[in-house]
Amino acid sequence: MTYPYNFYYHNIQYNALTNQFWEKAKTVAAPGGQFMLGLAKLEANRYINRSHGEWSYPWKVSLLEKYIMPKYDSTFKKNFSEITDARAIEVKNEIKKNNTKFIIGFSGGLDSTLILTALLKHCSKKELKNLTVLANTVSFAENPYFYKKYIENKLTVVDSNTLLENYINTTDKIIQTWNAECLVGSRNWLDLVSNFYGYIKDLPPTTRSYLQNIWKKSITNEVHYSKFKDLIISQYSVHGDKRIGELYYYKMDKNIKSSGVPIYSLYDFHWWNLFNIKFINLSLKSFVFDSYNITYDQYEKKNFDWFLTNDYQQWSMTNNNNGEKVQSLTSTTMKMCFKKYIYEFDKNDWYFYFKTKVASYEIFKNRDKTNSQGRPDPRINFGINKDFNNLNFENLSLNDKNLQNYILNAMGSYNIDW
Amino acid sequence: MSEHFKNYYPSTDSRIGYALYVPGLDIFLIIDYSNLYVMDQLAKVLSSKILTAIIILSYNKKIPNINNENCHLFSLFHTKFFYGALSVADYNYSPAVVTLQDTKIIKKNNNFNKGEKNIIKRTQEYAIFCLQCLHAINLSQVLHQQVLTEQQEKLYATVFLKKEYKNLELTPIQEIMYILYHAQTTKEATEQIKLFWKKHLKNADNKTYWQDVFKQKIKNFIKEFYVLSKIEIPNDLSL
Repeated sequence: MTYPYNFYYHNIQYNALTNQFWEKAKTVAAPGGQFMLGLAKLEANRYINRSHGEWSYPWKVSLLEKYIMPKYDSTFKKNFSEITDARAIEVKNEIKKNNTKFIIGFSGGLDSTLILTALLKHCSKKELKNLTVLANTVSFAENPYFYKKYIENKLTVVDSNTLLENYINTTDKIIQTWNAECLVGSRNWLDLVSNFYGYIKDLPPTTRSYLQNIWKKSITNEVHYSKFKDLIISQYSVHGDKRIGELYYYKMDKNIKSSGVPIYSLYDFHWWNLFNIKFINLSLKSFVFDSYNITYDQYEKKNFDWFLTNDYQQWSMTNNNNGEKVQSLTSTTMKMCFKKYIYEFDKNDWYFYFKTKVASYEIFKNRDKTNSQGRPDPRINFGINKDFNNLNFENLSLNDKNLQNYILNAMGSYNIDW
Repeated sequence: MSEHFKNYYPSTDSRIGYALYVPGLDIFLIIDYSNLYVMDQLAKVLSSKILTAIIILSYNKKIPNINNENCHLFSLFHTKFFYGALSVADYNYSPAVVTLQDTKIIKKNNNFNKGEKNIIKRTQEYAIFCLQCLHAINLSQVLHQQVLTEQQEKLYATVFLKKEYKNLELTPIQEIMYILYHAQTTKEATEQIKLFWKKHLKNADNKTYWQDVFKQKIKNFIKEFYVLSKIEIPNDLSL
């Protein structure tokens, strides 16, 4: 088969703007295509495999080299704090050497608070003058103590509704944090932690009781994720249709077994979803959301991807099930290594014990059409092709019938090969 | 709950309750049977420390006997069918307010460590203190609103005339919310509240006419707050 299109990023997402197209795709999709669309009913299907494990797509997907997963190194020993300190020192040196200016979006969440903490720890007052913090009321509300104590009237703050592309003609570097989530794997795991009893309630009593017995070991190396197969299938079933859950389980299982990375517990299984197949989606998020009028080359020159280092990724692969990422079956103990690092600096025990994930799109919610310069909602973006053009549904439905037909044909011939 | 509140709320043995649920810990922090709007203020005030959601409990459903002494032992069976409202990835500082829907309240064996237990206890104590203060300020402000002449003027100008208004001063309810939001302990909050009242009393000195009358009315307002909140009246306020 020839591939006239080749994607670095793709996005099957049902929403008011795209429903019609995907419903049409559903009428022509082969079983593999039905799976892709079914999964998208649970969450936007932007899965791209960056590991050496086996995977398939209806269309051609290429990997940008920098996102290919490093080969697992079992001898890796650096700890999270060391790696974070080293990253801050890199920024400090860049400021000292080239007087580079850095911009960071501060949401008040753990990722951006961690980075600001590291920079506050290592940079002098003078060096911090080169830092601009993008923030708004949402940032304050998510971490008021930190904002009042360390940011307000101390660092340069700019309203985060400002578009990053406004900085494109400056020499500033933009620190992006979206893929932090991938190192510690949280969203779908948090969903499971909150709804464990909901997911098992319709299973046969013996399965239910078995899962209840082993649930506490789901974050340890004592029980393999395959023992939780019924639970995973239940979590990934769509409107009671177990078939999607089963296909998801087997596709991931095949990928995991051929990946060369040790993945054992139920927590690991969920971590792998982010660390492997959502990493690229999250890494490109700021390009998709914030770079409508700029080219990928321009974006890349500005982009300082804080967590995209070999050390952070190796750390992530060698630190499962030891309490660094998740300590117990409550959502407040997620990202413990982030919390410990911040707590050592700010001593805010409310944040340490109670901080939980909140919706990451909050910071965009107040962005209206005036300050978005009429750009379309990024949720209509289907993909980024090899020329780094954003392919959105406006173009897809109005201008590019060839692409539409290509997607429909690809869905129509994509079979289950796992 | 202050025994004085029964003079102001329709019923203290209501069959409707408002429980503050902590999705991150899957426990209930505090429960109140008086006023949903005060509970909403409480959730917002506590959001600087802990994210919560308000669950409206209707006692025609099967609900265990849950109160402020035992509520931390209870959890929701699951939160699956609340969709966005209680989904861990979607809740935020502005609390979701939901009814129980397809889930139920159950007793769960939470394995919190010592540090977690301590801070949960501390938070619950702070939440109870805040709830008392918020009931007290809401009631005392409405009972003494005629003394808040600038606030009245601002309300009528901005809401009923839709006019821009320069005076951005917060109302006493908002001032107390501000203090409770930022304070780290009940002691700190109590001190800040005292300083706020001192400032408020001093404002009466700027009145051209009936200064003494204003001052006495403000004193009555402040006294009401302290009685309702059960906080000891500080001597240096000279009420």
